[in-house]
Amino acid sequence: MLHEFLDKPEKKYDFCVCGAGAAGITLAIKLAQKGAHVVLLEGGGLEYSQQSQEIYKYKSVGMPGWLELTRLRYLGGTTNHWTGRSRPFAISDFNAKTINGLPGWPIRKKEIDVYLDEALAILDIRTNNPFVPIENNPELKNFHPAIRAFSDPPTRFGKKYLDHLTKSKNIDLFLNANVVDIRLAENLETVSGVTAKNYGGTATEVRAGNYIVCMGGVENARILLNSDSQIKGGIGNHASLVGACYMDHLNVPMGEFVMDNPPKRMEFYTSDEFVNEKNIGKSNVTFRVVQKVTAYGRTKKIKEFFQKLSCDMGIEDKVQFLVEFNCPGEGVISTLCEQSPDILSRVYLDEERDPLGMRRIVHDWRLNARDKRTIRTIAVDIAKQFAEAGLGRVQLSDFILNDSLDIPVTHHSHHMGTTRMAERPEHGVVDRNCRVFNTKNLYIGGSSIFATAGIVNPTMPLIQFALRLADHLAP
Amino acid sequence: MNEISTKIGVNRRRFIMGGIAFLAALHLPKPAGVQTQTGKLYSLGDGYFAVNGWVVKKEDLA
Repeated sequence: MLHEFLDKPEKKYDFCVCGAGAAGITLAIKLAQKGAHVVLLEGGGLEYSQQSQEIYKYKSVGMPGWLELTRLRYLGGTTNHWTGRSRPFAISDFNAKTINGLPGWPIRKKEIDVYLDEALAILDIRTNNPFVPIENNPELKNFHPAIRAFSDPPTRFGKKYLDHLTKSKNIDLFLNANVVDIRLAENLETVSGVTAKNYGGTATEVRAGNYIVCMGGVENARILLNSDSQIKGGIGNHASLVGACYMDHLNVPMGEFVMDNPPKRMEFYTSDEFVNEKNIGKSNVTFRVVQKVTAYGRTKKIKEFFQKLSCDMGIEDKVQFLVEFNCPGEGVISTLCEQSPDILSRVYLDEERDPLGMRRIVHDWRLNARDKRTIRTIAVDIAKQFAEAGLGRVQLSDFILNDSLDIPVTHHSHHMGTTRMAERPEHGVVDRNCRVFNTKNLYIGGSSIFATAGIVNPTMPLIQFALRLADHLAP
Repeated sequence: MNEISTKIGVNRRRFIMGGIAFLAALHLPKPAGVQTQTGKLYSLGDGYFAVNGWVVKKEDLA
């Protein structure tokens, strides 16, 4: 059933799912299919609105992450503009190892593999051998052809599942229901309810047996930190790890390349042997010849016009001090490098509050020494491989060769790690079953639970984890 | 008297610290690049070099 939040939910549900993006919708539907009564609370409406999006405003004090533009706050969440690319975690991602003093995943890959076909079906990807290596990639030592699968067109969870959510007798979907507080019972371990508010300021408590927070890679940490009226520092923050270990995949303009008759696109993965030998993160490195100027964001059309004009006139070098871009015909190298978990890269609460009374986020996204080593090692090695194989020449950017220069990193909009999974409470926020440590009935869904980032696109894996969590909660 | 002594102490400390910083700077690792007539040259190990960023094998260096 579909409700506006002015219709207050009165009954007590089996499950309260906070946030209706990929993880929340997957969980709500799966739990309802098992016969459970689910209330699904979505802060936005059916379409984009500035009123809802404004809740995402934040302050950046680290590398720019563009959190306002890369997330969407309405039914379906960020799947409303994702590209539809899926890549799975590798077995090696789950091999326990300590990085920056933090242990890796407490589970093995096979525990989410059993949900792969179901996740692929949800994402409208054919399930028979879906991950196809990029064709015509030359063979390189230390690198493999990359694999990927596409939802074509990308699955928009809001549009795809609205009818199902509306007609389901076991799901009550409330729109414009913003979760602003998580309330604990006297034992400070059991969640007794969540406080939800609409934009008119009407607040009410929603009650259920279990609560699952699926509000996004940053917002999951934000609601735990904001819920600090009963426990200082917020719920689950016993080890000061809520909001810590923020990771994104690192997009670095490593350099340019020239070669005769290059394929349209070459894309490589680092081999596990190479990554282990060098003690660095993994990486996906893409070589492509620019076909046309591209721009992103709200000023896309203006930027594209400006860039095309500059390229046509051959004056792009003169305007690069304003904005960096490439012109058609240039061979560019880009990356999706794995960032390592680090407590210094984090989100935390600002003093400023949003119109709902929630403290906003300060985003302090940082690179550590290992991340820098990952970027430089991979760039130099793949450039050597190009020369060795006689494929062509690579020109590396100055910051790759000169350690004293800052590395200009841009984001991939993959927000991970802020409520990381761990075996023990001193190393994470949620346990192997996504339950918040020191609570009895509070769970987290979404990429914020990722202990390490791998080189995955997070949507498909977070759906695998959501399906696994549903089976755990309602076996 | 005490004030003058303190000032002398501060200046002496500054001089010593400055000297240490200068000597340390002499020993700091420099960027591996060497400026040549044809551009900046970096050794990348295993017989590879970067010339103005272009990565080439040693035998291709003309």
